Amino acid sequence: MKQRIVLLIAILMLVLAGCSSASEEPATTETAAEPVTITGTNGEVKLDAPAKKVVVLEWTYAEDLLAVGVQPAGMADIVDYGNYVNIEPQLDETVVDVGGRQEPNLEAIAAIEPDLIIGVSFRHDAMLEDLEKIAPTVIFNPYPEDESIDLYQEMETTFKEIAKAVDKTAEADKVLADLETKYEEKAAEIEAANLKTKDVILTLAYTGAQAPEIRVFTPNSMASIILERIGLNNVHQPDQYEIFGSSTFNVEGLVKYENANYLYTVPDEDNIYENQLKGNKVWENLAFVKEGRTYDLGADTWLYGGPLSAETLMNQITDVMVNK
Amino acid sequence: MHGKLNMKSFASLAGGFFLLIALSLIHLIQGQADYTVSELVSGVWVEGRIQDIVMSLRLPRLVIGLVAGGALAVSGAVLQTLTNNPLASPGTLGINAGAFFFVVISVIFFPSFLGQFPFITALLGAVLSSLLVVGLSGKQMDPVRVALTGMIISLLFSSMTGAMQLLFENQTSGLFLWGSGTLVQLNWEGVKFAAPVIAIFFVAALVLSKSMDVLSLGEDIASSLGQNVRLVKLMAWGVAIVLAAATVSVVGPIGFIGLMAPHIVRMMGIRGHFQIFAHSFLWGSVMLIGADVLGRLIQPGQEVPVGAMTALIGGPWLLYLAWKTAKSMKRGDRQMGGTTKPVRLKVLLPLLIGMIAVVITLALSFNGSEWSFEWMKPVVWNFRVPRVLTSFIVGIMLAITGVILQGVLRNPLADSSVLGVTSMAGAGAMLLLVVFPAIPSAFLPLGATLGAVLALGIILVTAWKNNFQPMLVALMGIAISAFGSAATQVFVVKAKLAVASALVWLSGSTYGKGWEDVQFALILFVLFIGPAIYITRSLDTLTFGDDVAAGLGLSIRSTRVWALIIGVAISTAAVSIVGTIGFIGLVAPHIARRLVGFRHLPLMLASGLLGGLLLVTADFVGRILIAPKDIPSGLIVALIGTPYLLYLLRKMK
Repeated sequence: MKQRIVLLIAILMLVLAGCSSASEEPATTETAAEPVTITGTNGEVKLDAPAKKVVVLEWTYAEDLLAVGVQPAGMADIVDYGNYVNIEPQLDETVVDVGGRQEPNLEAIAAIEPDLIIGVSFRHDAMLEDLEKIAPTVIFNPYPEDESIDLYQEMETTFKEIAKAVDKTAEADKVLADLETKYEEKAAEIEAANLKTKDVILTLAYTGAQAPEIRVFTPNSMASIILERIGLNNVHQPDQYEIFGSSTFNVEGLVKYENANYLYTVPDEDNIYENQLKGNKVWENLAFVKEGRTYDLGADTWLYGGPLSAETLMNQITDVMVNK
Repeated sequence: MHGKLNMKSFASLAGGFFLLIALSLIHLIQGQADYTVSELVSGVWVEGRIQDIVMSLRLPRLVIGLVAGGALAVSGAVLQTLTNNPLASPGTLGINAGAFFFVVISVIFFPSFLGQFPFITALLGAVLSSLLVVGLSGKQMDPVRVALTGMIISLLFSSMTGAMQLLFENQTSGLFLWGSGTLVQLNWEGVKFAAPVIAIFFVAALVLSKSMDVLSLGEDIASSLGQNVRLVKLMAWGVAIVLAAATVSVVGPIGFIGLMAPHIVRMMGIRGHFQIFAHSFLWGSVMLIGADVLGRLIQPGQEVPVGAMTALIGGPWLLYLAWKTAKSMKRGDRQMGGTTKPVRLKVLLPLLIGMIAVVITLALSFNGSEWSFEWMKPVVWNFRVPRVLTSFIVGIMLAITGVILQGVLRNPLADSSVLGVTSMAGAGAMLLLVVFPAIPSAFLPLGATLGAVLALGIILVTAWKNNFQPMLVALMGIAISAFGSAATQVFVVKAKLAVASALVWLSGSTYGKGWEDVQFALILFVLFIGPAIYITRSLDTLTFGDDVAAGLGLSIRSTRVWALIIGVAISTAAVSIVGTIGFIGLVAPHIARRLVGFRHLPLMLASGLLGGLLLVTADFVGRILIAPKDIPSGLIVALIGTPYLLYLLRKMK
């Protein structure tokens, strides 16, 4: 069985190799590309030419590439990405799985012979040297400790850097410009919908033991800033600065926000609202539950993504709040 | 005499109840919804929000805390009498780790089952791990042996849990809090399940108390007084296990209460098991509620796991206790075993080297999906070759550590993880990560070294006066180890997201080793191999027992100190390269001892080669099993090593 798979893979590889060598021919006739310099948390990274083959080790950065019309050559944790992230364009089936995000397979990455590797600081700082041996590597940090940069600005900056690396700056600007238009459209929709209140809190919940934990997004988080851009008002004010952009609550903590609308995502297989919270008096007597102002954004609305996830989030919000 | 006891008993009860009531009131006031005391007092009687919150969130939390604390304390008290081991508790006997592992597994693979039967899942794990410990410790329930077995089972389960959390990051991220124990309750389900079970088995403990009084006089006296010792013991074990398991299943693994409460009660002068059990229950409740109150005072509005809080208080206490208990313990010399008909090295060595050659060739040639014999190809040369070589060298080092430590402690179950060196090294590295979150992980070994040196320092200081009695050192090791892993747990919770990379390192990983690592490992190996070989002669002499060895002119104390220093140095070196990989130092020397006997030089040679073989195999299997993903070698080693270890424990009756 295993042998057959190996054989099959080998044949596929041969076919692919054949195809790619054929398609590479015209590429060489292009004009010599200009060198580019991109900046990550590991300093400036110089590329002799814009990257063609990029390996991404974190989902958000794959999304950034897809947004400017580039498919990554290799990517980590492809299967889980599909479960949590819902964006267009989708990931191509030819994208090579390079293992887990935490310990990506170095050999698999090297075998792709990428021009650029993109990692995230809280996972990949430790293996930066190994990655740099394979290809120029840039690391970004979506959760800067500096409180003056909000997480949305960070997302935009990183997105532009990544676009620059693959020579798609114009496309990136267009994506961001489109996003601005989209914000205005959606803000108008929200405005026109005459909601009872524009106050909201946005949450992501999961089971910790028998007790559900509810992440409530803080105003500095990217998802919250998107909410504000379309005219909603995040009422959650955390007691302390939350570097990852959310506070962890139990049901009791929701009481003070019960007059707001409740926006949430929850995994399908771990739906705390249908399991543990069903029948809980405190939950069921919360004003937003009683008055039917809870809005399910869907399990695969990724609240930590890039511009495409931002769009998904906007669409979902207006879908459930306005068009329901 | 009797009157005095009653006075003490009364004082303990009155003081305990007063504290309990005061703490409970504070506990009810704390919560994420900000209500003032007067709002609460007036609002709780009428139907409405405040009543809902108090009745369906805060009160269950308080009640589960009272019940759980009491149950853990009584369980600990029973276990301590049973094993005649002052260090016994549900935490130190591996019950917590087993339950948590089952919960993690079911979260990943059977989420709906966990949703429906959360208690049963954890109960199964708790019962399984306690059965393992009881079954493997042998009928005599030798204290050190029970504690060591508990350690090994804990080690096994927690390494597997760690690996699962790595592989299924998104599914298990919510389990961190529960993994350290939390009292958060959403309804009365937890109480409804746990309270009756705990009540019944608490009464059972009280009923058994008379028999346990007799039992604590010693088994011979007990049976001569007509007691069915076996039956009493069996029932007592059952009571202790169910009490602990029911608790773990509802509030997660909470350590140290079961250890501390019974001791405090005894220190207050309470005697007789009926009294001890009753008072332990009360004081266990006081301590757990107190810890929860404290946790929420430290970070209002946020959850600090109560298990972490109890660990913070309980860790140093455990060390003190281990030191105090072990001082009064009599010397126990134990035979290390080993074959008397050794396989000749001329036969064994070529065989081992042949096997190593085969495994290394395999490991160099297969990456999980395709074979390639071009080892000089950059992809292979830069990533696979150094990784395999590092694994080999580190494997040898780990095995040598085991040989030295087992030899010096004359304890067949000793290795750096049992001594607490490994877990303190882990804690040290995590501490560094918490204090300096931005620190490059290249500096983690620095923290690890500090932790290991601290562990060794404690052992040296406390065991110096007692001439390094093997028992004392082993007990201190267990205490240090428990403290180290508790501290690690606190740090893991504290460091939040940054934890993923640390978890990889903690679980022991040969991932991403390059040529610098090979160089580093080789230098350390060359540095230490000389002293290690030199010490083998003294270790040989030590096997005859302290008195004979002293008669032969060996300075026992300095030999012990040097052997400990060398052993710990090598193990720290290994930890600094690959993180906390256990089991190899335990298993390789055993296999070797069965092959070449107990003379230390051939033993070190054979177990070194076996250790190298084991780690290369583990690394290889971890690389290919779910390629392109990676399973940390530490886990694979645990999976290879445990069956052997379990077999060994059975055999050593």
